[in-house]
Amino acid sequence: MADLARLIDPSKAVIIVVDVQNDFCRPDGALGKAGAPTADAMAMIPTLARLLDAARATGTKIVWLQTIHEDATDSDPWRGRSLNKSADICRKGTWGIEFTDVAPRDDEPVVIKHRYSGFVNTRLDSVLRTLKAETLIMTGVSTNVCVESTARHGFMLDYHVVFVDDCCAAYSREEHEGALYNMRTHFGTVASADALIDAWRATVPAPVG
Amino acid sequence: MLSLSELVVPSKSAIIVVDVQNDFCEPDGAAGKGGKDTAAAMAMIPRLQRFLDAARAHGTNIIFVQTIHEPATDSDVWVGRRANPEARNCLKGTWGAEFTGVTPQAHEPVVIKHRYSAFVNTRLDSVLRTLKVENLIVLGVATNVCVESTSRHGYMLDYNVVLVPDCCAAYDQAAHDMTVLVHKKYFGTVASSEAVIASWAATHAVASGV
Repeated sequence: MADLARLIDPSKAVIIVVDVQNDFCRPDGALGKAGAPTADAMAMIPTLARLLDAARATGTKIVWLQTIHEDATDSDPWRGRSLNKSADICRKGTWGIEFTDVAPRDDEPVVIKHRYSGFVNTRLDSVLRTLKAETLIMTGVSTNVCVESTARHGFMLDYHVVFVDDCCAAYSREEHEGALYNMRTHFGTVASADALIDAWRATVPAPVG
Repeated sequence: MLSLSELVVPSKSAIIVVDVQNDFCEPDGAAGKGGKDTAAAMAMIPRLQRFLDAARAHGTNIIFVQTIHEPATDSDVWVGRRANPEARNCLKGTWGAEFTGVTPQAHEPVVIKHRYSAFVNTRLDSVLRTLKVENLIVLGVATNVCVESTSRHGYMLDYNVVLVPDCCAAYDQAAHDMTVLVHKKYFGTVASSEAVIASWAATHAVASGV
């Protein structure tokens, strides 16, 4: 608990909300319509919303990753990803790119990305350095693809990683658990939303805002 | 060692137009109002326009780099880069951030940046790989700051880099000249806009069987 509280100190930790967008989460989004089971993603969102509310009350910063695809970054290797099934996901200007149920406040940066990791050729690291972030609190979808890619990359850029297991979701339980195993053994800490909220409640002097 | 015509061949090259924006070029933009001599920048623009027209006629890729600053990326270290931290430029949504004398066509990507090098935490490298670009033709302002930072970084990412000095401008001639010298020694090739245009015309003539 002491270690977790230190890691998620509101002045040093930033929550990264990864790709909580219609095309990844909703049954009538692009992946859902292509047959991916989106139930776990939709089920996770209320827990995520509760975590974000608690974070805002402590003054912990939140940064949103939003995948947007367009021709300019659709290289040949990229277009063929996911067994050629991802061609119409998160196209610029569509309903599919919009956030699902949760949304950034005006003062919460949105980082547009076009690869799995939120760090590849984006402004994310500049935003995090501006915030003097030391710990990334990872949430979003899908656990083993964009969240894990971003977490691995963030760890390799020397951020502490706290992976919130019940604020992530994948398209199968095995993939979800596999990602948690990697995170736990090689990349940082795995904890539940309640563990974080309890740690803040025990250590943060007074709620902000 | 590649010849100039190989280095600028349209199918494998991209022109990187760096920061040709009001706050860096116009006398009443931020740099000008802050005391910088913007004469060289304004004088360069007609040569740049002519160069881009020729590039479009020969099918060379053009990518516009646009500096836009906002609080999300204004770290303490970054804001402290100038003696007067209050002097802001290229703020999101302002006239100062708009392009000067050049306009991207609909299919020409615009890469937003917030540090000197257009490769730092931007989508530039993804855009270049999508285009299968091997060579960068770098120009714009300021020669020794954002142009040089971008050309050095591009070279270190394994692109061939051609610097076009007569389509670059700095606020100090000596600084401009030093960038050209250093680039030629350690980072790639220097060529005039006329030489590049002539190379395109000659390649085109050959291809057309002229």
